Amino acid sequence: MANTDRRNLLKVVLASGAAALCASALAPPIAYVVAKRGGAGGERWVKTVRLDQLHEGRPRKVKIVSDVRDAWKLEKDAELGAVWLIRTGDEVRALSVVCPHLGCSIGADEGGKGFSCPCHDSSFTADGKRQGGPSPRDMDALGTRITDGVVEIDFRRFRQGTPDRVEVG
Amino acid sequence: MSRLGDYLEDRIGLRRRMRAMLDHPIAGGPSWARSVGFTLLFLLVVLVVTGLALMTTYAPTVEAAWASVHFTTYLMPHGWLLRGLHHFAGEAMLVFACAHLAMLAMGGAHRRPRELGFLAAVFATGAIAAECITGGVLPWDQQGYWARRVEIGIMQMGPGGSDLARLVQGGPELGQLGLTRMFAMHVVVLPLVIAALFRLRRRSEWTFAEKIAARHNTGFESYVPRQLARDLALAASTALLVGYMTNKLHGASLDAPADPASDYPARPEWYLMWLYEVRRHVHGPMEFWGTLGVPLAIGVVFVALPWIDKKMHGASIVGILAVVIAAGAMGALTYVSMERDAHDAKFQKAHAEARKRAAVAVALAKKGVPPAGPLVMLRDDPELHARALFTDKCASCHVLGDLGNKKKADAPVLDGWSTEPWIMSMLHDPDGDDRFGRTPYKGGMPSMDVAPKDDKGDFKPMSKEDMTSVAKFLATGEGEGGEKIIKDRCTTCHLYKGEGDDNGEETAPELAGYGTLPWVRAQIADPSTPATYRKNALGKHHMPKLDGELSPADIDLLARFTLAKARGQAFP
Repeated sequence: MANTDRRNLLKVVLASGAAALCASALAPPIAYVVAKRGGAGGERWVKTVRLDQLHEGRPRKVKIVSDVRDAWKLEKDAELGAVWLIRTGDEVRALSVVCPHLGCSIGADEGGKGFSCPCHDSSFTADGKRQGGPSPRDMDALGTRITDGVVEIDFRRFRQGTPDRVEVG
Repeated sequence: MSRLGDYLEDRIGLRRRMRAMLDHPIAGGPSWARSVGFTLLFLLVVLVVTGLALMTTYAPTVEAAWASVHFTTYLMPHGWLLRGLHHFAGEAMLVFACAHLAMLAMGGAHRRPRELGFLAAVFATGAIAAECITGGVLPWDQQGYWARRVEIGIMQMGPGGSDLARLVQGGPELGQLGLTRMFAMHVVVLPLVIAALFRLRRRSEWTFAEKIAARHNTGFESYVPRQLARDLALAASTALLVGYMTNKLHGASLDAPADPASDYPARPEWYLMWLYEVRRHVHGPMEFWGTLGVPLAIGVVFVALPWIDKKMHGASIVGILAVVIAAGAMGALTYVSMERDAHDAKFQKAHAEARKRAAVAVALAKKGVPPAGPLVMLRDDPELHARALFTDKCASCHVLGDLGNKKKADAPVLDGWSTEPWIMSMLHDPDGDDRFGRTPYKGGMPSMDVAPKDDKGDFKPMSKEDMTSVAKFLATGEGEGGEKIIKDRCTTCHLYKGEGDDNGEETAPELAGYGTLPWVRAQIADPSTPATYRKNALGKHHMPKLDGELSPADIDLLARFTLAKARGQAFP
């Protein structure tokens, strides 16, 4: 009787030992793979074109050129993405080209009547309001300011597929 | 031979193990469904071997991935063949895995005591699909990049999706870490998972067969020879099919390098088109459940099949129903989706442009790709860059070769501009549609050899010889006769070397240096200087100035490109 008990105890001890050994081997790689690294996010003012290069009623797509950090790389003057600029008087509105639906690049319809996405046919009015298709929200407006006649954009990215705008970074 | 066999038998029991495998009983006699399983194993071996060979010329970084796949496909001898075999063997494996699963479900192979083996097949099919998806991103081309970007977007819609997306791509966006992770999944993690599931399935089937064999003395056969013959026949046919597809389509395609800042009409691979179609019809908060929920539901039905269908014998009604519904829906949705794209002019146009860019990138990369990657290669190529500048800045009014739209053009067609024949036609009929006819200058310049309508008899047509001399001088700068005629007859309105324009109209351009690089450069930078079209050149519907909008280097490039193309010369 005592012998069986001792043997069972031994089994439990050995099994727990083996389990602990496995766990100690697995834990560091798992922790490493799921670790979150703080991203950039926040304000990033990027210079684009001069105000006098924009014309009313003609939205213009400009590339966002800035430094990009991707993992270990720092790329100077890389193309981060693009925005649509719409001029009204001396005001400029900036709309991200990234479709709020699933992130394809939104294009302008001919004649500046509005915008549409080539992937799932989301459509937007000329000022970026949601009009049809699967997009859950309006095109994402970005902050603009004009410094010495140059249009600057507060370039940010947002989560896709949600009705609310949530910044990712 | 037999001595080597004896030796291996003695040391590692090889002969005994081989015999055990070949003489193993199979339940219910030989079947083609089992041969599909064997073919999957064969394809796995093919994929591992071709994959290892491909790894000798692949580099999983954002800068190098596309270039290394291009190198494999177009520069390494037999590289296209190897990549094609890997590609089509992968797709064949996905098709066979689905077919296998369907056969198992319909035949009732999910019932106790074979349920674990059936589940192994279900999960292996999922892992094979994951192999295809992770493999698709490795070339880091537009097709793979955008398809994955959209799929990760869908993933983010679900509960906990953000964390899952972060886990897959190693950060908030698809970039270097995402590529590295998918590479590791594709070449190490998933193949091991698939191999382990295959082994589990085989264990389950063998245990089942042994039980049957122990219970009955008849009604079972050994694996050799009939099952083995079928297995080899199906595997060989599959190998032929994969080889045929590879040869027919000349390997796997390579799209243009992934460009996150581009417009790309993203579509998934053909085997995911049915999901793409679901997505088009389910919007809003239901979208996640529509697009991930449907495959999830199909998966759940298959996983739960052993517990749903408890009948012990014969074909499985539930299994047949599940297969027919799933296959029918997938087939119909795929058909609808492809049919719509085929008739969507906008998509076809965008698709054709994307293909063109791919062809250009592939051709250019044959000369070598800079270490900064293929996007830099494309950006720094003079012709591509010049074409992009012309398209962006000039082609909404002008036409030059294949650039611009002849129907919408409201500025001169530039093909042949400033050549001798072009100037001849300008002197004869300045208001032709290809010249001033659709511009604000219409009616501004008179014909040199046709009398104007309001002619009162004092019109003196220019002789053919004089027109030829003028054209020759303007086009080439040669012939003093031409220069003299210009000074005599053209400077009433035009300037020549800063002199002329008797009435001070400031409209007709300077003719000195007309058609030379400095003249074109000056015109592009600012048409309103005395060097070209002068003060009145910036009115409405006139050519805008690009000075300040383009860098001097870009203006120079655009001028050289336009001049070379107009005159039919090589560029650069």
